[in-house]
Amino acid sequence: MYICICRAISDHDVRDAVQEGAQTVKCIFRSCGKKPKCGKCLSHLNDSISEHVECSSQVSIAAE
Amino acid sequence: MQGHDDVVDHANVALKNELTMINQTFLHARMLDNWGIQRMGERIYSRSIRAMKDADEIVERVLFLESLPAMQELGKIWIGQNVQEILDCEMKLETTCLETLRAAIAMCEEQRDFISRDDLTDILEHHEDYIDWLEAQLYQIENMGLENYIQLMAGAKED
Repeated sequence: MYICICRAISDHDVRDAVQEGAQTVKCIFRSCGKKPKCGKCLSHLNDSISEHVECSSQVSIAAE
Repeated sequence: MQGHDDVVDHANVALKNELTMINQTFLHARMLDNWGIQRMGERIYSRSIRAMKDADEIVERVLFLESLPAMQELGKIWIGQNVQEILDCEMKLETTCLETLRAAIAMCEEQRDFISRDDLTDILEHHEDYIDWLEAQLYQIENMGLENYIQLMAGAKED
C-alpha cells in the first residue's frame, strides 16, 4: 500500500528503510532518495515507522 | 433557503469524503485496467462515477441551503499495490464514509431537515451497496484463492 502518493513510497519501502536503521520521516525520504512534497502523508509515515520499529524490536527480542 | 449550520458542516464533511472517493476509486480502476484486470476495474470505475454524482447532489443541496460547498477539502487516499490491497484500501475509506454519513443523517434528523436527510440516505445506500460488493469479493478470494479470483476478473473490456 502506498503511504506517500506524491513520491510513491509504500509501506514496504518504509519497512526496508526501518530495517536499514531509519527512525524518522526525514530518514525514510532520504533512504528512498526522495524529498517530501505536500506533507499530507507525514502522520501516516510516522504511524508506519512506529509499527515497523515495534515489529523489528519484537523480532530481535524473540531472537534473543 | 437558509440551512442550519450544523447540517451544512456535516454535508461538507460528506462532500469531502465523496471527493476523496472519486480520486481513490478512479486511480484504482485505472491501475486494474493497466494490469489487465478489467472486469474489476470496470466495477470500481462505475463506483467512481457514482461518487461524482453523489458529490454533485451534496453540492447542489449545500448551495440550495445558501452556503458554500467545501470543494477544496480532500482526505487521504489509500492506494493498494495489488488486488488484495486495493480491496482493503477501498474498505478502509468506505468505513470512514459510513461513519460520517450516519452522523450527518442523524444531525439532519435532529435539525428536522428531512430533504437533506433523504439525499444523504440515498448516498448511504450507495456506500452500503459497494461495501456489500467488496465483502463479496473478499469472500470469493478467501474461498477460491487470489489467483482464481484474478483470472475471473481479468478479461477484455466489452465495447
